[in-house]
Amino acid sequence: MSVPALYIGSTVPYAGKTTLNVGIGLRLQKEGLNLAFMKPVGQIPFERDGQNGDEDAAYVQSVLNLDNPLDLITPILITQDFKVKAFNGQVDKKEILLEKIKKAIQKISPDKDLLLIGGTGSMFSNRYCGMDAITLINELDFKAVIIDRINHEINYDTLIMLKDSLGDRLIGVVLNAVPHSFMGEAENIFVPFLERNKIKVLGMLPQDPIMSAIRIDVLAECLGGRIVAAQRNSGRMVESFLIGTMQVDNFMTYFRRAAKQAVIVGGDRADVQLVAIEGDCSCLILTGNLYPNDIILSRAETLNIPVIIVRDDTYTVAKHMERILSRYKLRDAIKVRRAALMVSGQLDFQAMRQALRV
Amino acid sequence: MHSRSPLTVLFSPASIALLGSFETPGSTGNIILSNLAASGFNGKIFPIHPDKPSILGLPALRNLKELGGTQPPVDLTVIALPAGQTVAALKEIAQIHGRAALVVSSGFKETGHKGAALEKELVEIARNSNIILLGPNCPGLINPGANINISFSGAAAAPGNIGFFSQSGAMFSSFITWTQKARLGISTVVGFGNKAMLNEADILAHMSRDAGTGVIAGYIESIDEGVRFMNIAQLTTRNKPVILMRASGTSAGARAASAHTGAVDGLDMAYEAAFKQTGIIRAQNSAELFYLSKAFASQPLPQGPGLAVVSNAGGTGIIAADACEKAQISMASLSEKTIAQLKNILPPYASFFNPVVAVGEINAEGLAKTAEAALQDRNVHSLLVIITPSSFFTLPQVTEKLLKIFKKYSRKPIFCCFMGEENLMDIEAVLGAAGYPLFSFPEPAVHSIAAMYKYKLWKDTPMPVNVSYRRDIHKARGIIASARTTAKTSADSGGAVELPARLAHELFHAYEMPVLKTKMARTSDEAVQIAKQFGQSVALKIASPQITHKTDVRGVALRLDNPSAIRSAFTDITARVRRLRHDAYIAGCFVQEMAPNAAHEITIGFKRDSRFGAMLFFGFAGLQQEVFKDLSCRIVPLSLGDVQTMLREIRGFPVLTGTRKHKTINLTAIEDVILILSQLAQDFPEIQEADCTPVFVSERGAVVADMRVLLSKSCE
Repeated sequence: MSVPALYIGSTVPYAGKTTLNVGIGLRLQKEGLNLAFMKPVGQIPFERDGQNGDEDAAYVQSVLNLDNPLDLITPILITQDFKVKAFNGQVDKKEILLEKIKKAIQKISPDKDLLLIGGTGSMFSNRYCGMDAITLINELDFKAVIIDRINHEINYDTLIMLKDSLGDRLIGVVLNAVPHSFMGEAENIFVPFLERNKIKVLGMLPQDPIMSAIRIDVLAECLGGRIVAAQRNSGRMVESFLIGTMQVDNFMTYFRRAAKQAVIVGGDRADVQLVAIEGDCSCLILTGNLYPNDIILSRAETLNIPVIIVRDDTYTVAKHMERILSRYKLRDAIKVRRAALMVSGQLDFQAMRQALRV
Repeated sequence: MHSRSPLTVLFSPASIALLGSFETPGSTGNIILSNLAASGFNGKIFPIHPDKPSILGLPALRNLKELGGTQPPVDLTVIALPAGQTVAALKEIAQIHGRAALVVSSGFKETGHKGAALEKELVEIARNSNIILLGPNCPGLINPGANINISFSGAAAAPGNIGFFSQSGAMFSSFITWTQKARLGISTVVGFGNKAMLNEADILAHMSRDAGTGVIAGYIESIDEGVRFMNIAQLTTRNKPVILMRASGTSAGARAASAHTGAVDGLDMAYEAAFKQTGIIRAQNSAELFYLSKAFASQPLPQGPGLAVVSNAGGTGIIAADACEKAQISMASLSEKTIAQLKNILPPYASFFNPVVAVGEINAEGLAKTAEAALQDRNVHSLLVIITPSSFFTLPQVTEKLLKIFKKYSRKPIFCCFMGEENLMDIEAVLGAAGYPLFSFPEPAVHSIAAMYKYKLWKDTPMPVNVSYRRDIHKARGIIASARTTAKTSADSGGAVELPARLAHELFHAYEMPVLKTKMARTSDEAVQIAKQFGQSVALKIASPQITHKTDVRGVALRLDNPSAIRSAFTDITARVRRLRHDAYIAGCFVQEMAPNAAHEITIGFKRDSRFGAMLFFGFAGLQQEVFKDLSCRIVPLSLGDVQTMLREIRGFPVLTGTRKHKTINLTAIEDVILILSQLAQDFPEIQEADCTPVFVSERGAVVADMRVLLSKSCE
């Protein structure tokens, strides 16, 4: 492989690969490197102008201002058809699939300084068809940076295992969403531990509510809901949520603690709805498919607070919200700017470029 | 061997013992004993007191055991002791083989766990000793015919034909006062308090059998044994009108019971359906409860819909005519003979057509003659006389004249409305004593006449005939059993278990339910092959056990008529749903034949109510259901008549009878789908909910496009 290639993978899905791709890509472009980008195995199929591709790949490419054909930057697209056929032994063998990827790389990488490669799912995803990250990195001789999202603690076992599998191809790891309360422990215990195990920690990205925020219209779509008031303000962001099932007094106590909250409340709790609207919540999510009364609707319109009506009950919606806020993809300009800033400021680019020899 | 039924013993006891604290004036025991003593009861009264030889002039016994020698010892024992002493008291009653106990004491389940435990103990003792128990926490009972007043109410109720039961002490005493004021008579008034043993179904059954009760009225907040209550009501209302007011907790009722059938709020809808199906007349408020009771108790039922309105003022006649339209009762067309008669009675500028407006200067004699002319008319089945203040007669004069005429036409219901008068107490007393209800406004009068006519139609309707549909019950049982096995193996199913789509289809096939041809495709190639087999354009729908509302995740594509469109839609749907719902397992897509053109989408289903059993609902699918809640509901089992009424009850029914774009829908086909679901609900009590949405209906028939069946957790 003539062009150096950097694979961005993660220990778990939704760990922040796109954030890292965008942050690293924009910084290196700024430093004057001529980049190519691809996501060889895509699993969010979509169609644009008659071309099938991966939605994430297309987004990263557009942020990096690149314009290769979608089917070229994602030669292997995991659709429902692909999966079922793979389980039935009807898809091409691993070697043929790898050959497809090599050909795509040859087409997009001539005269480039670096090929940035976006991973799919976790480092182990798509092992069933031989398209997991470990196979790709080793077979195609990529270098790798792995991002790990902190969920209570660092996935140190997985990282050590990945180091064993990748050897020197693993340039280092990035720890993402590190809570401020955990920063000291990470710096004093886990970073030295990983480095003793020859795993370079390239940087730590602090937990940031903006990075897990979601636009209200996207939120409505994810919840299968309808926006029935203040649609014009549905581009507003939601960073967290609050369940409004308690008495109004108690609700106020919790409500005041955080900003940009979506308030999830039963469609029949006009008292809480009104308090939330007057208190400038980000949006109201009314559960149980119950329409609010006219007073609520007119106040929401006046104060520009979008109201989403969803069919599910409050508990189910809260569960969905938790999942959505932890897994929502990087799509908005505000988040891209924040990602670029964080990655640029926190990562050891010098060490990375040295390892890549670019 | 006892010759009288336990309830007869309770309501018409030959002897009554009272346990309580009687000394203090104003205490519960003191008031009850005073009221009983004052009511003129012919039987024996035994106040029980450990020290005093006599209470309120009545000889007292030291304890119940002193009654042991008498035969029978005592019919009814009233307990007005503190809650903590009631258990011991009931045990004493059991020892002397007492037959009925009325516990007025409070401090039971209405106060919390401790009280509930005490109440449970009371019930156990009563059951084990064959004692019938009314209460606790109940305001008592009054039977004026037998001169019995065991209550806090000192009002002297007159004997009559209204039986009233109440879950509220306030309504108990208010009803007595109202009837007193209107000179109405009562057969029985009973408050059942906490309903520890006797509940509304028992009281209804008793009043149904009681020859002295002609009209049954009641105030309830809940019904404990829904199915039993409905069975009793179904038979009772064929003989006697039952008028009930139910105070419903609207906020609780509005809360959706489950996501899928969110529009069916369960509680109050079930009551509404149960009342409709059993011919119970529902009073929407306490005023209505009273004036309907008054109307039914005092006048015969109208034999037809024709109402004549006679008034001495034009405006009131028009108000009454408007009220008729709203109440869906018709203003009678007067015969030529009547009109000719009226022309002889009234000046030429009066209105001779219904409403008949005798001009302002008419006197009492003229008004009475006008009323008689209307009553003579064969087209007139009921009469409303509306009088406004006039200088040409006094109210006593006109009342006297009218009563003379009314008495000649006792088979037609006649109502009076005297508007704008300040003091009608005396007139109401005169009219009430003669059996004619007086109203202050025309609308309640018209509403009462309409309710009476509807009740007459109900009485004339033959008893419902239940229809049984052909089905392969063995196959259906196998499907349910198979689903149960799967449910057991999936330990994460916390609540109800949803039948997998394939099994739901098979279950519906076993019931010969018309269902759109549907097959599962795991890949786009399979989808194309299936579409080829169907030989027409198809719909693709996401197949995932976690996704019920496919359109919410844009998991449906319609009218796909070529392989390329099918492949593209397949990829599009599966990818989108995967993106939106990370938690969902995507099995592929269902390929379904397209619904007939120009079909309406309706929703039919049932969900089980804890009190009444399966409640079936019908309405238009989509916004009509979700926003406007335009649904009709009935309790299973349904008769064909029930289903036909259900269809016509929704506001959107005219759409089904044909619009500019759509032909008249095949209503029989919808009836079949509803009745098949009713059968399914009866056959499988373990099915908690079933929902067919959408059902496509057109002039050619009805066909189910999507269905969902939930088994209750307790099906194991």
